[in-house]
Amino acid sequence: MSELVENLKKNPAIFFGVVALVICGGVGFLRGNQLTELSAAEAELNTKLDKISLNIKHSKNIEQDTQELETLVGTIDERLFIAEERATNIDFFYSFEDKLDIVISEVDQLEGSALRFSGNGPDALKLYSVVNYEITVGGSFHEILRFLYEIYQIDPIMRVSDFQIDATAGSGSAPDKLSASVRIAVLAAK
Amino acid sequence: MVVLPVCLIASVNNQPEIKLIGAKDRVLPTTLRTSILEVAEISLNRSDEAFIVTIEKVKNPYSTGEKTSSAMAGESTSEEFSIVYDHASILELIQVNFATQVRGTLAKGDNNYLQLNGGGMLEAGDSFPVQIPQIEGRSFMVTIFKITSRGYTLKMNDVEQEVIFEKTSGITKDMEK
Repeated sequence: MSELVENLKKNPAIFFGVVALVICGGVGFLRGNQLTELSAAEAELNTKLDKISLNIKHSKNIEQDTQELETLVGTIDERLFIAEERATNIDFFYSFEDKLDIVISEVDQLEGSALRFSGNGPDALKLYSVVNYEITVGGSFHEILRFLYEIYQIDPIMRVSDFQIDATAGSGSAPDKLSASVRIAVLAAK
Repeated sequence: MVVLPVCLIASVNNQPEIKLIGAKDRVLPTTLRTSILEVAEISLNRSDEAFIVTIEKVKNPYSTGEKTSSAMAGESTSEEFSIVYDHASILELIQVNFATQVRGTLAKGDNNYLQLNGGGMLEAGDSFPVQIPQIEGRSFMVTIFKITSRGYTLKMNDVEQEVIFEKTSGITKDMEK
């Protein structure tokens, strides 16, 4: 033992080397867990960095797009039906008589919304509701087609959900007149 | 009364589908945002003058004026009055309507039966009167001439019309052997 001490005294570099090795081993042992945690944190930060980089890349023109989207949403809001305004809504459909050579003989605003648009339906609407109408329209085949086209392209947002033609409606002096029963779903305010 | 359902609007609606899938902390890709805005723009501005022209060219499938006018005028010089229903075309029309009422065929021993949607059954040799809207005021006697597992044959006077089931339709069940 004394020989070993003597040798260490003669070679202090070995002594300090051993001491440094012991210290490093101790530090390594004590901070081993922290290293694992830091590695995980680094990986998480790298993921976040990737997300941020991708978001920055996709954010190009986002303000312009947001503004455009807000304008479009505003346009939709302006075109919504209000379910409570029944008379106004029904008059809207009768106004097609002035535009086309058709006769609107009946407009019924149906109570309740179709299941598909409400609750857990496949097309459930969170921001809007849907009002359904049953309309009976008389006219020639082409006028009825024009009516359907007008419904398709008119400002209020609506679509034909069911359509039947009675081919025997025409008689006497107007044998080619048809009667169509049209069900229309209209986007309305919540 | 003839009530015929018609589907029209779906054919006009051909906007691209929007698939909004993504995490909440992600900014939507520019291409997807552009697509959404384009679809919204198209949906809010659907006017299409070319479609109106197309509508005008569509032939009226419910037109009944030709025959009436022809009968009243007592002449048929115009091409539009030249629709003549012979036995084959009448049977063809009957077959189209009758096919919608047939559920399939049913085999009992050596006999085949036509199974109808309402639950009734017809066998070869059965006859029934039929009226079609295209020719008002007349009734035609149609006979089930033959029934096989693959289809059936209708007969009217000396004209026969064979109907073969499509692969997905028709029910054949061997009940007794």
